[in-house]
Amino acid sequence: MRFFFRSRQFKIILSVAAGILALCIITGVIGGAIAPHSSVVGTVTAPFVSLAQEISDGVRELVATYKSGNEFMLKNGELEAEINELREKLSEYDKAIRENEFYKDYLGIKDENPDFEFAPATLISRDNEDPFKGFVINKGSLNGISEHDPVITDAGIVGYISEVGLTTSKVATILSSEITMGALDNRTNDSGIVSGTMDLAKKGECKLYNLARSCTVAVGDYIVTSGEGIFPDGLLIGTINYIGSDEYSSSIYANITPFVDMSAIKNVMVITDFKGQGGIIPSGEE
Amino acid sequence: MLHIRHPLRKFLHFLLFAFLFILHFTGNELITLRSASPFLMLPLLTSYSMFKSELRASIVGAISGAFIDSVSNTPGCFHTVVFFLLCFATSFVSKYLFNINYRSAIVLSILGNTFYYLARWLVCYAFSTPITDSLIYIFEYALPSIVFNAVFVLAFFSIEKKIHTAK
Repeated sequence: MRFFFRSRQFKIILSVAAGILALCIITGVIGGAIAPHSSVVGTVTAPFVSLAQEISDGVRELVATYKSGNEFMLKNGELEAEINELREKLSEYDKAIRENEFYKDYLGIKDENPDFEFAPATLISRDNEDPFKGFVINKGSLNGISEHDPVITDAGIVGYISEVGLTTSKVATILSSEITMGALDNRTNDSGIVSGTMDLAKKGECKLYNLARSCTVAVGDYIVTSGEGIFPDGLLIGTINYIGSDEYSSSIYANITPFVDMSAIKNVMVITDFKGQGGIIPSGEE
Repeated sequence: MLHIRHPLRKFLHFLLFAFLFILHFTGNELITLRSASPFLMLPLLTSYSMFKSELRASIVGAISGAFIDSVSNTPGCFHTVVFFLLCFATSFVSKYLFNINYRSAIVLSILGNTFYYLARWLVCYAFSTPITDSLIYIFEYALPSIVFNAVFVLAFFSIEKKIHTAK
């Protein structure tokens, strides 16, 4: 064994280790960006991963159809097959229609918020090891995306950009405890803070806490961003499904079901610019 | 030092790694059992490292880690570092302390997986989430996944053994 530590092989391993350590230091210094080597790898592999994601989605839908096994799903499958056949015939035309519909959904948000600048993006991979359902999109700094840019769909808020690469970015969802954002009850204007916990993330929910005991929030109320923090105001978060009393303080909390189903996301919009952007940076970061 | 005795081995390994990389990170939940999501790259790397030199194992580990870092939500070079260390340690330990057999594969898989999930907990959750979240991660995600991965290591060890002994 001691000969190994004197061998040429061990010296090469030490050199590789030193190289990796240097990369870690560089990544730490540039902060908020995907590690340089991973960024290069991500750029090269993005098209293949994206293709694999499409195939995987197809397989998942197929399995879901067979798993449910009821008539409705079978009929739906037949109809989908017919639709797919038509889509093949008019693929280019259909693609344009779908794109138009995708953009139309965001037009309302854009009309209400003319200061928003959008960058459309597509999910290319999910991290199954992440309990908070984070994912990677196919746009990066070359498309004007920066760290902490809000990510939305037409249904509501998804999360923010946690790391940016050249052509890919990592998204942390609102189920994550990494995100804390100011929020309001749309009906009563009661304010609180939305963040995630691992327990709620399992159910696809997040938590609205720090609500005053005198507040009048109710199950079914819509929760929107208040504009405090890194998110613009008025973005839909979700609905209250449970209200409880905090054991350790005088405040109460509510569990929220987000409008966006984090495990079914395919396309998103990144808000690259809006009025008041860059006000407050998330907790734990400088 | 890095010679390949059988050209097909390299290709087979490439196919295996590429398939598992795509399977895991395209959100395919076919092999997920409740909250236990097997990270198949771990048992594969454990089995691979058992048959390879420390140098080759650690380099393959670092490269696999770099690929995973490009699509994973862990910070910076997490997988590059962890897989580099994991593969080096597995190769080193299996060469000097263990026999290369199924029993060793299971033990090394459990040790390696424990190291991986502990490192992930320390880096991602230990200091940024409440203690309840940490406990949920360890008992509901990490432990079932370690057990799940240990089952898969038998299959990968068998494949690696076949590839390694092929003439």
